Amino acid sequence: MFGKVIVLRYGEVHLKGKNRDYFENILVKNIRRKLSQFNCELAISRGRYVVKSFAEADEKHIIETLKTIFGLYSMSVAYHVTSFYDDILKCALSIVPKKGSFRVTVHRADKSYPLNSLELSAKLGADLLENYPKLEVDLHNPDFTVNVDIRDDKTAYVYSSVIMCAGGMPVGSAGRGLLLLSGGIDSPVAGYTMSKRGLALTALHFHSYPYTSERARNKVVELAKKLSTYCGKITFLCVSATEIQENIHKFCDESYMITILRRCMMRIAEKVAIKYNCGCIVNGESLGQVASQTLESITVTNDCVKSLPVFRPLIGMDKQEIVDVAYKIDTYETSILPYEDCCTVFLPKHPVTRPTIERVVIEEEKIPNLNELIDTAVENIETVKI
Amino acid sequence: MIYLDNAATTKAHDCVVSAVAKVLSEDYFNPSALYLHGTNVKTQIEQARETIATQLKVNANEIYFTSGATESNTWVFNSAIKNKKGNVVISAGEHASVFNNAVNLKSKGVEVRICPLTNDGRIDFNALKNLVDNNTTFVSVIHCSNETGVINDIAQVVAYVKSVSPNCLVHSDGVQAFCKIDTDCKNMGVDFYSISGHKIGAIKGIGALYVKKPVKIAPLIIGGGQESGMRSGTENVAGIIGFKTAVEYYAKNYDINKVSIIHKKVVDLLKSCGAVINGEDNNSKAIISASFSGIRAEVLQHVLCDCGVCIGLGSACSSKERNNRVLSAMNVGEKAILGSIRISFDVNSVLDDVVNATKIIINKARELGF
Repeated sequence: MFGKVIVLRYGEVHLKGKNRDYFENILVKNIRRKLSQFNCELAISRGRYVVKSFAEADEKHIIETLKTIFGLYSMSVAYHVTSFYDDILKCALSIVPKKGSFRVTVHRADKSYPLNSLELSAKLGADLLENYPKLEVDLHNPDFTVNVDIRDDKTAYVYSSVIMCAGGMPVGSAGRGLLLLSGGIDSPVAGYTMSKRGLALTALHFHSYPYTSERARNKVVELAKKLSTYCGKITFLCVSATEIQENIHKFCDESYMITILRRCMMRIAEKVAIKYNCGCIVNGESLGQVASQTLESITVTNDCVKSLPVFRPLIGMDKQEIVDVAYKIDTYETSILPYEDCCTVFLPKHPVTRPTIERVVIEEEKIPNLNELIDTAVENIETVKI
Repeated sequence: MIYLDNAATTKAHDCVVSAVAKVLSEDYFNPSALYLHGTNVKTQIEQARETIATQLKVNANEIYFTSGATESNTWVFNSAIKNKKGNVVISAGEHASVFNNAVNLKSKGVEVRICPLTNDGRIDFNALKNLVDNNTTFVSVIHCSNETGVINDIAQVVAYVKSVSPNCLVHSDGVQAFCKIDTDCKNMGVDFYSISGHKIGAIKGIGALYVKKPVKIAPLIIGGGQESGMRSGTENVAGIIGFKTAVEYYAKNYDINKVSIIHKKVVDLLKSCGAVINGEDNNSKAIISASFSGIRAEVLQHVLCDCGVCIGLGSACSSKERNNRVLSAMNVGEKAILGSIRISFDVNSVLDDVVNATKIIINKARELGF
C-alpha cells in the first residue's frame, strides 16, 4: 500500500478544446499556491491531479483549502495501491463497513488490465461479501460505494466518498475585474460570483474620511481578506470621495445627491480600472433593492462608463439569496458591522428613484470643477496588498 | 482636544497616576506576604476599602474589589440568585452587562421580567408594581442611566419590592451614579451595588461590589482566600490604591452646582438648534443624550473628532444592529436614535470648553444637513 492521497477532479475546464492547457496551467498554479502552506506534493498527470505525502494531521485543513479553489469540481481521499488484485481487495476491506448496503464502481484507464470494469466490480464485490457476510449489494441506493480507479502505471486509487469543491473556472483565466467593494453584504458576494467565473479581482473602496472611520475602512479590508480565500491575491485600492461629496452637497439638488455620487464613483472606477489593467467593473447592484438600484438609477449611473463592461452578477438575486452566499463565504458577520460608510454621510430626505440623464447632467454642471475633483481622487489613490 | 465622553471612560487624574506609579515602583509587594512591606500594602488596601465604603455609607467588610462593574454585575447574577426559584425583574434601561446577564438567566430557564421605562427615561413604577410579586427573588435597577443620565429612585424601588417580597434581593448598577450623586446604600436599602473606577478618573480594571451583611453570595473565584475568600487572586493593588485616590479626588472636587450649570448651558444650546434632549428631567447632570434626527450620529462623531471634540454615541456600534435598546424603551423614534449623541462630563469639565465644543457640534450637525 502506498498511502493516503487526495485525488482532485476539475469540472468545466474539461470541456475546453485546444486552449485547455491555458486553463489547466492557471488551475495548477492556483492549487500550488494554496498548498504552499502545507508540506505536501502535487502530482500532475493527464486529467488527474493528486495531492500526496501530506501529514495525517493536515488532511482536514488541506481538504478545506482545496474546497476554496475555483476550477476544481470534486475530490476524494483515496488510497494509492498497486493494481494487483490482492492489494486492491486488502484496501477495499479496510475502508468498507462490515454491514449495510454497498456497491463497487470501477474505472479502468489501463485497458490492458486482465479484468474489465464489470468483471473487476463483480469479483471485488463477491470477495467483500465473503469477508463481511452482513454486507448486501445495492447498485441503486447503496449506503457505501467502493470506487476503484485503475491507472495505466500499474497502480490504482481506492476510495469511498466524493467531496464537492467550489466548481467554476480557475481564478485569473477570465482576466481581471475591478470590484467596487462597499462594506455591505452584496459587493463581496458579487466579487465571489465573478471570481467563480475565472475573474481575478482588484477591489476599489470609497471612503469619506473624516466623516467615516478607520474602523469602517478596516472592515472592508477584512472583507477583502475573506474574499481572497476564494479569489486569490487582491489589490485593495482606497479612494476618498469626501471632496466630491462636499461639493455635491453644496451645489446640487439633494434628491440627486446619491445619484451624482454614484456617477462619480463609476467615473473614478473606469479610470482606475484602466490604470490597473482591469477589463471590467463589477458591482453588487440588485435590481430594485434600494433607490439607487432602480432601472432608471442604474441607467443613469451606467451612462458614465463608456469603455468597459459593468458586470452586476447579483442583479436578479433576492436579498436572502445574496445573504445565503455571504454566510457561505463567511463575509456576512463582517458586512453587518454597523459602521457608517460614505453613502450615509449626507442623507437626502427624499432620494430620487427615477432619475433622468438630462436632469443629472444639469445638476452635475452646477459643480464648478467636477472633472478635476475626480482626477484628484484617482491621483490620491491608496493601495493595500491583500 | 475637548473630551466629552466621560461616561465611557475618564482620563486618570494626575494624583491617581502618581499613586498608581508609587505602588508599581515602591509598594509592589504581595499584600499576602508576612514581612512588613507586604503588611503595609495590605493596610493600604484596607484603607482604600474604608474610603470606598465611606462614600457608599456602608461598612468596609461589605466591599469586595473586582475588575470592574461588569464583573460585579456578573458576580451578582451568577451567584446571588443561584438555585433560587421565582422570577427576576430588571428594568429596560439596564447597561448591557446587566441586561445580557438577565438574558443569560432566561436562557437557563429563569423567568425574567423586564420593566418598561417611561418616556422620560425612568423606570415605570406602576409597571414595576405589576411585575413584582411574592415570587420575585431578584430585582436589578440601574441607579443612573449610562445612556441618558436619568436617575431612578432606588430607595422607592427597594421599599416596594421588599414590601411585596421580603426575601427578594435588590441590586443596583451604580457606575454612573458613584461620586456624582448621593449613593447612600444604607438609605437606598439595596443588597448589592456595583461601581467602577475608570468612570471617575481611576484606571481601568478596578471596580467593587457592595454586598449588604448578612446577605450570602457565593465566592466568585476560589483560590488563595483574598477578599475574605470571595474573590481570590493577588489583589490589583495599583488599581485599588488608584481607585481610592480617585474617590478622594471626586469627594473633594466634584461640584454638582458647576456641573449643573454646564449641563443647563449645553441643553439650552442644543435645544435652540432643534436637537431633542432624551431624559432631561431628574438627571445626574453628568450626561446629556441629544438627538439630531435626519443625520447619522456616527458621521457627526467622526467629523467632531477631526475638529478635536470627542463625544459618545446614542446608537451603539458595539452591537451588530445600529440601534439603542434604552432609547427605544423610551419610545425615541428610529431616526432620532440614529442621530443621537451622548455628551458626558467629569469633575474637571470646564464651562467655556464645553460651550465651545457644543457650538462646534451644532455647526457640524448643520453642515451635515440637520
